[in-house]
Amino acid sequence: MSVRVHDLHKTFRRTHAIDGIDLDLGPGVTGMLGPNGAGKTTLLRILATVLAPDAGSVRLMGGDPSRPSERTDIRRRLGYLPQEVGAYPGFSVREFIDYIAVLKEHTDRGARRREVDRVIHLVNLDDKAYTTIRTLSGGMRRRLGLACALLGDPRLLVLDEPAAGLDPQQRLRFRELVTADPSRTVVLSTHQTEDVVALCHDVVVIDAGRLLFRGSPVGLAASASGRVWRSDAREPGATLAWVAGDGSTRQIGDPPAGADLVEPTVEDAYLILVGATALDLEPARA
Amino acid sequence: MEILAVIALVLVERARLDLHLRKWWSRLPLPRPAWAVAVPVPIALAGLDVRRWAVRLTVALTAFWLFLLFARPFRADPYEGVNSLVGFYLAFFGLGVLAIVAATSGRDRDAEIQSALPAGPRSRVLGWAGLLALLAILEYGLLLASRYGLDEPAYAEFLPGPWELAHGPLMLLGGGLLGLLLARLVPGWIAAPVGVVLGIAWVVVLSRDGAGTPMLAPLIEWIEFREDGLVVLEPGSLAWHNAYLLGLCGLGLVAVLLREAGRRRALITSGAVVLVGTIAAGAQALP
Repeated sequence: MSVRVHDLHKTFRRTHAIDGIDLDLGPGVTGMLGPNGAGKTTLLRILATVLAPDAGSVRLMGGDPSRPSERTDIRRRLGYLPQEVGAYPGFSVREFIDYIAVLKEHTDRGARRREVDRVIHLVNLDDKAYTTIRTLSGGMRRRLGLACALLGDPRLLVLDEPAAGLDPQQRLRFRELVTADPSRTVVLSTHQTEDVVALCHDVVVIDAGRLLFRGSPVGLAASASGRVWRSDAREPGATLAWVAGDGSTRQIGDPPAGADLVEPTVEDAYLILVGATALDLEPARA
Repeated sequence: MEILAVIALVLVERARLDLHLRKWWSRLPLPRPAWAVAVPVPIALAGLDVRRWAVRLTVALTAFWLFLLFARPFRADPYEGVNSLVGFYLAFFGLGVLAIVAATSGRDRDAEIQSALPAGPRSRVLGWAGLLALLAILEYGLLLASRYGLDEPAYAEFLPGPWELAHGPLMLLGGGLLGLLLARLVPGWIAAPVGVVLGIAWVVVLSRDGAGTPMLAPLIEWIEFREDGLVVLEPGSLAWHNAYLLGLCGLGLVAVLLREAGRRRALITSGAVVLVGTIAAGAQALP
């Protein structure tokens, strides 16, 4: 296993951001779903060795990040894309990636130049290589961050909302990138359930710092089986209901007898798992 | 005039103007020397910044400023040229470097992407320190070349020697290190003006009439060459003053490393030794 997390806890003042999570992750793409404030970013920061847990154990690629020497070794094989890249506005794309490459210990100038060219090409920023970062769009900055994360072909990729701000074309390109090497372990958080379906062999749902679900996207969708139905109008048992494109009302919750059950999606299952409270929605009343 | 030049430099640096040479520079097919194997991260970082800065408008303006300071006075007025070589004007160059480093070196503080990289903040600090040391050595080399490349005039016996010429490079190194420290202590853009004000205040307070402590100021106007001969403005030991400045540079570096690496016994011990040496050198420099 590339990632082993046992009984992990992290508290910020009185808030339990992570509350006893156990997780084993191997090669492939694992998607992390959860509402805002669920603890996804905190967990990803711990996996990226940026944050130390208050309690519990973490093993990354066989190393213990709490030990400085092992942490450095882990970081050599780790790629991390934070929510905010924090790139310097006055640098060009190439300069910034070059700078990060040096900090990733690519100190041979010739080899570093080739590696920087490689990742710029991977994220399709070739025509922006000499553009100043301050003039880039949000999506381009995400790609810049992704390029930095891909430097050195890391064995473990930790990506915090990597597809945010990407247009559909770039999102497809991103999916291709992330899944290109099946031997690599990728952990990503997202709010896009379609990304989870398209990319992930494994999905984790977190809420209030706790693990609610762990399994395949198909398994997650199946967990909502019998709880999604369609009718002409909203019904009392529905936790959530919305009018679909075909004019019918798609509902999730407790279906009435004889309801027209439909095949649930990952999104349906996710909504049932995190509940209406987490979504700041008033449950429907009779 | 010099203060205005420093402010102009800071403004230009903040505007992040460059000479649009990035693409050309980056693509220049430089032959790869045989020794160009993997180097320590701080050296690679210093090299990166040298290449970045080489195409900046700030650097071009500074070069022009230095030209005005040295080349023109030497042609127009050799006496003024001697004064420049001694390093009084170079102090303002150190102040400019202080401001620029303070304005730019804090750039890596909040970037989370760097928190997960193998080379930590200590490498980045050492990279900056290496770059500053390189600049100081370069400046010293230029000063020595200017001084000893001169046609020996009639007043040759009054020209500054290697000790006097070291004042300017030490100011540059110390100014840069102070800027580096401020960038890590004071958040945001305010570090640069705070650094400039602190630097000027430091000199003014210790150099005021009757204080008796001008040799403890980072900048001293120790001699002036006039038509009627050499005037020693400040009594005291020039060599010990340089040692005092070097000690301050060492203290600055230790302080920045402590800020970045946490409290480490070896660093604290080194800092204590440097502090004692700096105090001793300062005492010796006094008349």
